[in-house]
Amino acid sequence: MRIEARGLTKRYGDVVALDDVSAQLTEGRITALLGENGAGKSTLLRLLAGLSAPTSGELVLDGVARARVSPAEARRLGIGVVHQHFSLVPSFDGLKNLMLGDEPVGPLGVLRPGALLARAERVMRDVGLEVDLGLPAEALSVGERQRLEILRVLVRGATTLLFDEPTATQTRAEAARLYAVMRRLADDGATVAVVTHHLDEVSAHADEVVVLRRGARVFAGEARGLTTDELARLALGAAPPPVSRPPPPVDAPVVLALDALGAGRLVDVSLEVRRGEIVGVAGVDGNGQDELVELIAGLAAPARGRLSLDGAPLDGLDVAARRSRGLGVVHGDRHALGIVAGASVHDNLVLGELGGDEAARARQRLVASGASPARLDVPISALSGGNQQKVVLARALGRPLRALVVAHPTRGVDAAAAAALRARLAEVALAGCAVLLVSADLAELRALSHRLVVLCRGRVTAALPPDVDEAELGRAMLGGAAA
Amino acid sequence: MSVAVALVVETVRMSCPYVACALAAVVTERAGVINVALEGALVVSGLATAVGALLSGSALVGLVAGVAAGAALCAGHGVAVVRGRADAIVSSIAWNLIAFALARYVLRVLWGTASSSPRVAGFAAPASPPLATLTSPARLATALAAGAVAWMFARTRFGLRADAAGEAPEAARAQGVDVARVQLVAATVAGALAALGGAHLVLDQHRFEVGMSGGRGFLALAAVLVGRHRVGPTALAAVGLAGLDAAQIALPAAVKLPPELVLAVPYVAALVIVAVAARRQRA
Amino acid sequence: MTLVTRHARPVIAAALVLTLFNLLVFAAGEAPWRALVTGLEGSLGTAYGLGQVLYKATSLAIAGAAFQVAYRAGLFNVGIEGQIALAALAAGVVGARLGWAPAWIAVPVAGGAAVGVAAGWAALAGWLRVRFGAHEVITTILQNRLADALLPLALAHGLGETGVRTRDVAASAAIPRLSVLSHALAGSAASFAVLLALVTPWLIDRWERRAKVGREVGLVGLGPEACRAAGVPVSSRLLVALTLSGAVAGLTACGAVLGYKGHYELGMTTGVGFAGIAVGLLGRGTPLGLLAAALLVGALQQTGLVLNATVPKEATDVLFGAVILAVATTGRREVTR
Repeated sequence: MRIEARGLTKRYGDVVALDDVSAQLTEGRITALLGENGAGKSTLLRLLAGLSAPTSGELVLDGVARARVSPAEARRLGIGVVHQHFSLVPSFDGLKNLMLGDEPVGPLGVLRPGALLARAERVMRDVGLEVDLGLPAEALSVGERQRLEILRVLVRGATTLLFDEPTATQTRAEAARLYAVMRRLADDGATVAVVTHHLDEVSAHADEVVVLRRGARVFAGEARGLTTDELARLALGAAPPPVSRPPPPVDAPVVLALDALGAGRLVDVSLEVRRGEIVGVAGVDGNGQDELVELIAGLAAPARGRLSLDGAPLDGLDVAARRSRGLGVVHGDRHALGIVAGASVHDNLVLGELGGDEAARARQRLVASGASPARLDVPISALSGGNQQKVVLARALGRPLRALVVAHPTRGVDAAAAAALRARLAEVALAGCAVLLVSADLAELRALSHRLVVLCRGRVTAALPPDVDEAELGRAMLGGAAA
Repeated sequence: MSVAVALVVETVRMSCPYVACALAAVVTERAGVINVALEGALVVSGLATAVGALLSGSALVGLVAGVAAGAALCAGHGVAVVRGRADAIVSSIAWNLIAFALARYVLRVLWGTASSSPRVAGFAAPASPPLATLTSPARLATALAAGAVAWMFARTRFGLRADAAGEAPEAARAQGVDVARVQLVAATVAGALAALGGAHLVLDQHRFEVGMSGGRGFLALAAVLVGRHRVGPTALAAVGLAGLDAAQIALPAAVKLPPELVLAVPYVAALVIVAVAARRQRA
Repeated sequence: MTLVTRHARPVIAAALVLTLFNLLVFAAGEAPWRALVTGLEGSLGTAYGLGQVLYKATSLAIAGAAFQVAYRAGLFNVGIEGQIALAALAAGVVGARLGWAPAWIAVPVAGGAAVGVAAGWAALAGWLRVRFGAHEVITTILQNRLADALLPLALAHGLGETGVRTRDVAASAAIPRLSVLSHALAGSAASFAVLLALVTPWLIDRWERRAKVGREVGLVGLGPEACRAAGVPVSSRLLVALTLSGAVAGLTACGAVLGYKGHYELGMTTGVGFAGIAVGLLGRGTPLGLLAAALLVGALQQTGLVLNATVPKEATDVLFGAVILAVATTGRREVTR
C-alpha cells in the first residue's frame, strides 16, 4: 500500500517533535527514515502507524486522505509495526506472543492456536525467518526476538511494515541479515520503512531516504548514490569534530587486572588495562557486559577468579571501598543505575559520598561536567539525557581515579553531548587513568580504544586492534571467529 | 474420633477461606493488581452473606449477596488502582479500613451490637457430620473455582491477556489489549473468589462475627508466595495453612499448651514461610 | 488536564466524602446535617471536646510521622498498629516498676522501653526484608496479627495484673495532664505528651533534610538501585528507616499509657496505627501538613464519638477509608503525554 504523509506536525505541549513533514512510502521499496536522536523519526513512525494522532496534517492511505487513523484501522489496512522495545511478553513462548491481542478463540474464549501455528510455519518458510516458537521470549537472542516480532506482524497479514530502530543493538552481520528479509518482503510487494540512525545502512540497503533534523524534513529522495558523508551532513548539519584517541601508553604498568573471572553468564574472563590505556569491550548486548561491569564495580560477587587494582586484590570490597581505592564506574543502564531520577542534580553529583565538603564538591563537579543548565537544585529528571550522562560521568570522575569502567556512555545521548562525553574519556585516559570502555557502538569503540576485546556468550573470544576490518569484528561478536 | 481424623476433617473445614483468598490473590496479582484487601473482602462478603440470608431466609441468597459484596469491594480497589492510579497498597489499606468499619456499623444499625449477627441458618446438610463438612456449597464452589482458575490461565484468551497485563502491560497494550479493562475484570473476579471464603465462614459457623476472618486473607498471601502464583501449588499451600488452623483446634485438647500460644503459631509459621519463599525467589 | 478539572478533583472528592458521611448518618436513622453540626459542636465547641481532639491528634501525629519515616525510604510500615500495642504494654509494665525513681528518670525510662520494644519489633520486619527480601507489607501485617496473639499471652503469664491489663504505672512515670494549665480541660485526656507530637515530626523532617543517613534514606526511597550502584549502603538504610519508624510508633504509646490511662489494657490502642497511616498519607510529607491532618482526623474521630449514641462511631472509620482513597486517587501528578 502506498502511504503519503502531508504536512504532519506533532506537538507535545510546547515541544514540537515533528514540524510540517511530508513523505511517502511506496510498495516494493525500502524507505529509510534517518536522523539523530530526537530528530523526530520515531514520532513520524508512530503517526504513520496510527499509534498517535498528528496535531495537524494528514495521511493519505491508498488514495484516501485522513486526518487521523486509529491503531485498529491501521492494522486493518495492513500496517504492522516492529517495535524497538516493550512488545514481547518475556515469559510467553513464541506462540503465545503471536496470539496475544489477536487470539484465535472458540466458544468461551478458549484458545485455538492450531490454524495460527500452521500459518506461522508457512510464513517462516516463505520469508526465510527462523524462530523457535516453543521457547519463552526471554530465552531468545535479540535477533530471534526481532524475527518473532516480524513474524507476528506478517502472520496478521501486514503488507506495510514499519521498523522502529531495528538495528540499534545489532551487529552489522545481524543487520545485514535483517535487511535481506526486508528486501525479500519488498520484492513480494510489501511497503517497508525503517527508522535508523546508521548512515551506512541507508546507503547500503535503502531505496529511498527521508532525512529529519530537529523535527523538520531536510531531504527526501533516492538513497542510491548518496555517500555516508553526504548523509551525515544532511542528518547532522555540520559534522561533529572527530574524536582523537590519546596516544597509546608506552611501557605503562597494569592498573586493572581481571584473572579468570567468572559468575553467572561470565566464564573465565581475563583482561588487563594499563595506565593511560583505553580497552574497548565489543559484543552484542546481553553477552555478559552488564555482569562484567557489575562484578568490577562490586555490585555482584564473582564465583571464581580474581580482580585487582594496582596489584592489590579488590575481592570482598564493597562499592564505596573500591571507589576510595580509585575505581570509577559508569553503568550502562543510566535510568536504573546511574541517576536517582527524583533527586536534584546536587544529590546525584555526590550520591554515595554525602557529607564533608559536599557543597564544594558538587559545584566543582558540575563545572567539570560541562552539563547545562549549570544549576544544582533542579531535579535531574529535568535535564536532557546527554546532560544527565555528563552528571553521572562527573560523579565517577569526582575523585582521583586509577581506573574507570564505563558502559554505553553515549547511549540515548544526542550527537553533540556524545562528542563531548567521548572527548572527556580521551582526556581521562591521557591523564593516566586506565579505561575499560564497554559499548555496542562500534564506531565509538574503534575511535577511542587502543585495543579491543570481544565478549561473546560470557567469554572473551577475541582480542583485536581497533582498526580491524568491521566485518571481521562483527564475525567475532557473533562467535564466528574465536581467536 | 482420633486426633488424626479430627485434624483431617478440620483441615478440610478450614481450607475454604484460605483457598478462596489464595485463588483470588493469584488472579489479581497475575493481572498486575496487587491486593492486600482480601481480608476486607472476606469481612464484607461474610457480612453481606449474613444480611442476605437473614433478610431473605435463604442461604443461597446469602451466598449470592456475599459474592456480590466481595466482588464490589475488590472492583472498587481495582478502579482506584487502575483508573485512579492510586498506589495498590494504600488503596488496600483504605478498603480494609472501610470493610472492618462498615461491618461494625451495619451490625450496630441492624442489630444493635458491634460484635456478632443473629444466628444464620446455613444450608441444610445433605449428610451427617464428618461427611457434611465435605459437601457445603461454598466449599464445593471453591473447589470448582480452583479448577476453573487453572483452566482459565492455561487455556483461555482472558487468562492469556491477564498474564500479559500483569507481566508486560506495555507489550500487551502495543498488541491492542485493553489492559485497564482486563485488570478491572481480574480484580473483580478476585473479589468474588475471596467472597466464597467469607460466605463459607458465615454459613459454616451460622453467624457473622467481626473478627471471624481471623487474618486468613493476609495469610493466604503467604500461600501465593510459596506457590509462586501457580494455581495448583498455591491452593495446596493454602490447604497447608488450613492444616495449621486445624492443629490449633485439634491439638490443645491433646497437648497441654496455653491456647494463646497456639494462636500465634500460624503467624510465626507464615513469617518463616514468607522469608524462605522470598529468599528462594531472589536466588 | 485543564486547570479547572485539576482543581475540581479534590473538591469533588471532598463532596463525595461528605455525602457518604451524611448517607451513613441517614442510614442510622438520624437527620444528616444536624448530626454533623451536633457532632462538631461536641468536639470542637467545648474545651473538653477540644482537649479530647488534642489527645487523639497527639497519637495520630506521632503515628503518622512513624509511617512517613518508612514511606520516605519506599517502605510501607503497615505494622504500626502492632508496634504501638507492644510499646504500650512495655510502657505499662516498665512504668509500674519505677516507683523508686524520680520523674526525670521514670518518664524517659518507661517511654524508652516503649520505643525500644516497638523499634525491635519493626526491626524484625526490616531484617526479614534486607536479609531475605520478604516484602514488609506482608511481614508487618502478619506481625500485627502475631502481636494480637502475643499480648494476651504476655498479660496472662506474668506481665499483667489481670489477664487484660497491667498494673498502674508509678506516679513518677506519669506525664502530667494539660488540665493542670486550665480547669476547662478537666477530665480531658490531653497531656504534655502533646509536645512530642509537635517536636517529633519536625525533628524527623530535619533529620531527613540535613543528616547524612536521613538524606540517604530519602534517596534510597527514590532510587534504590542507583543508590546501591553509587555505594550507598541500601540494606542498612532500609533497616534504619523501618526501625526508626517503629521507634516513633513506640512514642505514640506514651500519650495513651503514661499521659492518660496510667496502665495498659488490651485493645486500648486499637485503630491508632491504621488511622496514623491515614494521617501520614494525608500529611504530604511536611511537619505542618502532618499536624493539620492529625487534627482533622482527631476531630473527625471525636465527632464520631459524640454521635456514637445515635450513629455508630464506625461511620467515621468508613470515612477515613474514603478519605485515603480520595487522596490516593487525586494525589498523583498527572503525566503529560
